[in-house]
Amino acid sequence: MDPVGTIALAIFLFAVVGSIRGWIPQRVLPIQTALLLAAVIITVAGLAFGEKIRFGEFVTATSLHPITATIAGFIFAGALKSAGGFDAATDMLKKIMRTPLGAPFAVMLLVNIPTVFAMPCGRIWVAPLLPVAMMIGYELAREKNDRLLPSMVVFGLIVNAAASCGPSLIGGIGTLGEGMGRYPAGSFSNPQSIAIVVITVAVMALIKYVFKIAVDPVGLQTPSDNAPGVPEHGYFSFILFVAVLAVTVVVNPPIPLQTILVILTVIVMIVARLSFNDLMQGIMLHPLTAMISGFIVAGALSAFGGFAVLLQILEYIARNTPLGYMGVALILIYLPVIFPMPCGRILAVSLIPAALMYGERLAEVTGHPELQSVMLIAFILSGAASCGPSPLGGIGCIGEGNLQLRGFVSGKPQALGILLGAPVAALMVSFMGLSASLFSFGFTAVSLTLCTICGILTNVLLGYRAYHPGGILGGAAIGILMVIF
Amino acid sequence: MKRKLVIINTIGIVLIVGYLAYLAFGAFRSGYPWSLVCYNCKQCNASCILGMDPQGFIESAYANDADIYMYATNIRMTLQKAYDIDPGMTLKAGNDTITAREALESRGIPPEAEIITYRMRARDAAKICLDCGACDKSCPIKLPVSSIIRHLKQHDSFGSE
Repeated sequence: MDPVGTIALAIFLFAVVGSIRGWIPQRVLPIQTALLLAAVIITVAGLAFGEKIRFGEFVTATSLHPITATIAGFIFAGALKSAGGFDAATDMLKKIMRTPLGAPFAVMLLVNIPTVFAMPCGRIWVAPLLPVAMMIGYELAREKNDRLLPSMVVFGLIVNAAASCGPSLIGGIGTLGEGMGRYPAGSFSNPQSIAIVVITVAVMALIKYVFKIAVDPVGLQTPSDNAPGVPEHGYFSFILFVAVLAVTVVVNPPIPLQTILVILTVIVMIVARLSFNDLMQGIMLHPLTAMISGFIVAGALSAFGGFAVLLQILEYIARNTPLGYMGVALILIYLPVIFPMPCGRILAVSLIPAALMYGERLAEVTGHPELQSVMLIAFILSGAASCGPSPLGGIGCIGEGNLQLRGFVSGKPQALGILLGAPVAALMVSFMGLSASLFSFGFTAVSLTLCTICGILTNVLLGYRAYHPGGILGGAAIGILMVIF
Repeated sequence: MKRKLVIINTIGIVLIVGYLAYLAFGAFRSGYPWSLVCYNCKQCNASCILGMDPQGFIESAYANDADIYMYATNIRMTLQKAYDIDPGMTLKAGNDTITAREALESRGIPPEAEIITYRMRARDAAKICLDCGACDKSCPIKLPVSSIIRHLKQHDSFGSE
């Protein structure tokens, strides 16, 4: 094994695990600085071993799309907040909650919106919807006297948004796998979307029954009923946002999403008469800088052969342990969750060739050619969702910060949820194959059934009876929307 | 946080933000600032009959470096030719990937043997590209990827390299 690659991998693992476990205290070196330092040490070690530095290799590991999408999303979230868009969204959901369909319908709709209108980066939805999820979560917590509900709603939304870049037809990670594996465009979308609904409910259940992530009771003391009414342009801003993103998903115009978000921001600024300072309200630097530092350290790993060593280790395990290729294929599928990066694209781009190779070997060994696509889709979903539990500036960090929870507390429930949900996508592809057609009867039936079951579970999780119409109809509606969009 | 640590960490964050600025700067220096817009979705990859990953050209543009290695997995040539183009070019050898130099010098594969490429420099891939424009057509936001390829074909590097 290449010594430089081995050292690079060891340093990277120490930086990540050390930050998560608290061996590197955050008050001394926050995750961003720790990762930057790890990249510097890897580079110095490489130089000491006589390796040449190619700065370009560092740079190519950086995927700019999620960074710019996050910035555009944050800026628009600032505009939406100042224009009262969040108040309007909360008001709309409150009105839904007062109907016979109640909270389960509203929560089902809210947490699954990112996957219904899947964007190439889940942060686009999280930035504007997180305050809404928090308000609904706190409202429910007060009503049910249950401090777990805000975390359930917020991290349900977060894991859903994080994974939603997988099925996104407009440049999501699924398209990356379709491209690299040469599968029909759009064929990875439906199985992933349906599996994400399962992941979302699984994360909410794990938070409620296993990890019990309760929010500070102080947050429950201020009823939102005392909040001022919806500003004049609130409804316009929020409806414009949802409508434009929905049209974008359907029409798929040849315009970058970032540009669309900037145009939307300018429109909202003009209509609501906002200043540039108003936009700054939405900017959160921590997830941005952590994501960039994650890309930098991934660049160092890639340039000095860290990923190549990781693959060699997997190959060794496959050949010399009882795990074999099947066991290693499973490890490979969950590798993005074991080492969650701030953006699933980092590991996806580096490891999809390996996933394709292992898939091919599995297909040869078992005589089932479909196993390559089965393995690839599970790997991609696991990779796409992994930015949720990532402690390196993943989307979960945004939720933890906003709910004032201990750092990295949402990682385990999200990781376990992904662990449970990825096989759902794999099973669907295994039994039903891939379909790139706009309407597939098989996927529609499965989507409707599974999403309705998830709706029933949401009823129970939120403290309602299992047969409450809100969850059932919410699930069914999501099941149909998943297939339509 | 102690004052010294505050200074160290602030420098770290400034460097991280500076890195982002450097990427934008690199894209402008290469003459292809639109390369920053790429979705990195690899739809162009599926359309290339030579098995190239055209997104590698975009990466090389925003890195302002034509020596970036990119996937090119369906090109056949003799080992000697691959070695002459770039000894560091990666080739497929069974289930393994090795460089042309390793193939010729360590593995003792005959120079006239036909090989299939795996990864090559963007500048070399550009010269082999058939210029069919399939990558442009498959891009969801219709980026003119082939304009970078044509540039590298003619100039071998980016403007300010």
